[in-house]
Amino acid sequence: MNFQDIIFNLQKYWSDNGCIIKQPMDLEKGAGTFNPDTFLRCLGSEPWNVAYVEPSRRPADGRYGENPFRTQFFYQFQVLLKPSPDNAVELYLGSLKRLGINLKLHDIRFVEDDWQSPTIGAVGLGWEIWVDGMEITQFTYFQQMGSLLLKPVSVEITYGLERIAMYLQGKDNFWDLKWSDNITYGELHLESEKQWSVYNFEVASVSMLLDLFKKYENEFERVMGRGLIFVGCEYVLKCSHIFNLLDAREAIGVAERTSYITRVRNLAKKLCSAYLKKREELKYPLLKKG
Amino acid sequence: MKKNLLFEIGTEELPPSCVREGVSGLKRILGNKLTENRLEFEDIQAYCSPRRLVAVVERLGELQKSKIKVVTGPSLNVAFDKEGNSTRAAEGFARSLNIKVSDLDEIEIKGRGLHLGKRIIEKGGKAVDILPDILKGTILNLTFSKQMTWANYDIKFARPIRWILALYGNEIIKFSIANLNSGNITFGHRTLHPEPIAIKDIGSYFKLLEDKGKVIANDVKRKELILNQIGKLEEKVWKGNYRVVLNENLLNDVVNLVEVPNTIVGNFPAEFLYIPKELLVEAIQHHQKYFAVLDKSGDVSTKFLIVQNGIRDNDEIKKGNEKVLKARLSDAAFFYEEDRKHDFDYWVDKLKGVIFFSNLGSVYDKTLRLKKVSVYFAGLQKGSRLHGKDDISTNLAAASMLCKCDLVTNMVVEFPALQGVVGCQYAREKGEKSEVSKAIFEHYLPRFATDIIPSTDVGLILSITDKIDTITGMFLAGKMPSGSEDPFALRRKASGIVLSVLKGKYDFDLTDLINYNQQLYKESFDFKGINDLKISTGIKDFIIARYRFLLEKKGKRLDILESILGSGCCSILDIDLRYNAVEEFIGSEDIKKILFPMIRCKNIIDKKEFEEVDEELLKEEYEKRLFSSVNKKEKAIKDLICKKDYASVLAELYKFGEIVDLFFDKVLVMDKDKKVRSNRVSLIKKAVDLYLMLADFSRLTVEGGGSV
Repeated sequence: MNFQDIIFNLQKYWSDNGCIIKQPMDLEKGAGTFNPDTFLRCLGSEPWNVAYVEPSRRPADGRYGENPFRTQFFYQFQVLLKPSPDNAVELYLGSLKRLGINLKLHDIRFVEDDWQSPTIGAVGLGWEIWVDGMEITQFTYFQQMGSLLLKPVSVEITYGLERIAMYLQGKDNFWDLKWSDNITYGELHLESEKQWSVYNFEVASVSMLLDLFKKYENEFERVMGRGLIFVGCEYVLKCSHIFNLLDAREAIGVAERTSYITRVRNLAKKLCSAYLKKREELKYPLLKKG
Repeated sequence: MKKNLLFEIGTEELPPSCVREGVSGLKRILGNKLTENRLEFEDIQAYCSPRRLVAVVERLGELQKSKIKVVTGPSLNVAFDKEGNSTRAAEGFARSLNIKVSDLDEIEIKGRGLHLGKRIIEKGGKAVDILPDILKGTILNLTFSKQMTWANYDIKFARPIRWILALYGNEIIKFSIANLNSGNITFGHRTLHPEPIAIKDIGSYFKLLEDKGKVIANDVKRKELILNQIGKLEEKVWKGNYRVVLNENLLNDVVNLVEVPNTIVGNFPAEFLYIPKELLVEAIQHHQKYFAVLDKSGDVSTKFLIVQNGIRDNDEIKKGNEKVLKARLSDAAFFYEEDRKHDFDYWVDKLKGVIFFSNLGSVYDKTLRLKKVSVYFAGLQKGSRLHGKDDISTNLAAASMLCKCDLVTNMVVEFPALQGVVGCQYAREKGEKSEVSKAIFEHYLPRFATDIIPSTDVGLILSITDKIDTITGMFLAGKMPSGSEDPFALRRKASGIVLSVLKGKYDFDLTDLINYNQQLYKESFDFKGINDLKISTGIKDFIIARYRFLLEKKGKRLDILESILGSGCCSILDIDLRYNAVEEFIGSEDIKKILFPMIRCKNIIDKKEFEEVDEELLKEEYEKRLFSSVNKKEKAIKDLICKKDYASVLAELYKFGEIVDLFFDKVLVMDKDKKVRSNRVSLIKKAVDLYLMLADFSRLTVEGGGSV
């Protein structure tokens, strides 16, 4: 199954199962979780079922394209179901079947993996899911976001698209994956992976990044003062990405690192509280549809 | 009629640690609740798998045991008049119970005499009526160290509960919790038999689950199966040429990661075999939970074991896992190669960026302290077997600087269980002395209650001083353990200190070491409102409490320890030597011959003031004899204590007892002359001090009541 067909199949499957299919957000982020369709929409009582592809960036994970499957850029397929349905695991297994995995012939395992993201104050319990030993999905029941307790609880299902493709196509690395019948993942991404690795580790201007972090932090406060929550959200994401870049440049000491994380987390907390308040003011418009 | 009860809580995949917590909690809580509710049963057993916690209660009674309720009314004086006729009070009371006065009993109320009353036998209710609350309560009372909520429900559990099976005999015990109703339905293996299975009678549960559901719900059986499969491989297939590394923790995790274990053998490329053995084994075990396999000479082989969840005949599973392990080993090799590009100077420098504890500086700061404290410790050992071993201090200084370095290596960041192991390996590779590299590994010992203790002096001393430094820091930061809370495992560390001190036979005053360590902290950091003495006494008592705990665990007498602590001795080794001597003495001689004379002396000197004994004032023969004996013994005992010959000290004190007894029999302490009297009391004080050089024997408990 080609890389793009995996996406088509997952989109169709989750659409058949009641999700709206959204498109990626036009901003750098470390994971699909940071997209406001998860980050913010998991808050509050309104039902929300969504699936989307999310290009993700983790500057420190770059390996100049030399590691078979560790890269600073990759794709996630993200599903968020709120409230978590009682058959969430069965639904997920159904999606594997849709991808052509015979569940009776393969060893599907749920291995404890309690997930947290200190920068956005998120905590969840769940598993990494293995097929014949290969981790292909993170399955998480969110417990906290923006340091706020969640009720109802959402379940987040994050497929590592490249890993699933490696598994399905029997390939040993990302670059040989078939994106479509006549073009490979490597042809599309290898050169940019190399360039970004050079930038992330060697070229990115630390002074500019430190400066931007401060400016974005200030801008966040300014727009939040005007109640512009979705705008504020983007500045939290920008701060988070800049922090990741600084981390890749090894520009932040250990003690400072903690304080940067705390700064971003405080922004996230403020943002989430403001979002909840706004939804209340709007009288939870999505509740009616639930 | 007695019937069995089957209770199964079906869940999404529980982490292995939660399975263990859950199964022990289920057995305890359900057992307690049945007992509290006066339901009798013969036995209760609990079983588990990643997707179910199961309890089977055998021969559970159908009725609660009846209970006698005592109702009391007016006292007899009030209930009957002088002629013995019942009063209105008595009749009113009888009416309230719907019986006649003549049917009432006389019941004694403690301290208030006889009253009218009635013993009413409350018949027990039916088990089927009470069980719903008991089972529901059991689920609600089960707690896990990590819990979660799901969907909209209020209940907390380790992972979502998806079904509840509750059968008493053939009857369903009906109750609901969150969105679930209990029933007689269970589910088989997640993918091999996801369909529901109805349980018609309890006896068929395990068999149906296994045959139809492809699940073995008994964890003990799963463990046996894995061990059998491994045994068969080793004997029949490998003919004794290969051996599986059976890490107990890993095995217990794997048992609870699968509902039916099926062991298959995979292979990885030989190109990874150059990675040092312990690192390679951990890389095989850590993420993927595979078992490593050694060849005949004890080296890691290219074989590894996969325990898959379910029995399938599919070569792709083996191939898939082989591919994953190859990638994991590539990672490990990458980390190992990266690490090899650096040296210890690089890592020592990196330790500056690693926080030891907030307000207590970096791990680098700790390293510098450790160097000073361990060299100081070696200095305290003058005159011991370490005397003249000059390289001890040199080795300690070197090992102190290197022992924390592996915390910043790629290998330990990736595989935290390898801390110490990696440091030791890298030190060897970099040509450090074997005493130093070994100490890097040993200084973390013991890592858990039953772990090994360091085997070398450098390892032992570094282990002791590293732990003393951490405990001192935590006490200064106000993080001492309280009650059951011990987040930094300081108790385990203190136990480690005691065990290492005893193994190395190091004689030193705990307070000296603690004070020195505390001073080092205070040179670098500011602690406001800290009372030095309180901290050092607190730490000393904390460590001695662990020695006491170790004695207690061995079932030893604690009064002996208390008596020795009465001497003010602050060296663990010395306390232990004294303990053994006194214990042995008690086993063979009559300790009362030491204890009673000492108590006689102590009773006299209680709360009195003392002066130097004036020899001129000693008139009577037996007080003169006591005086000269005290003086002679004082010198002799001092010498013996220096040699730590406590058996001889006890022999001296034993003989001394006769002189004390003679003194008390022949001499009246309370002389009319005040000077003579107080001189005698001062003499007795000297006698008491003689005993106290070894122990305060008056704290011993003996038959016939020796304690004062």
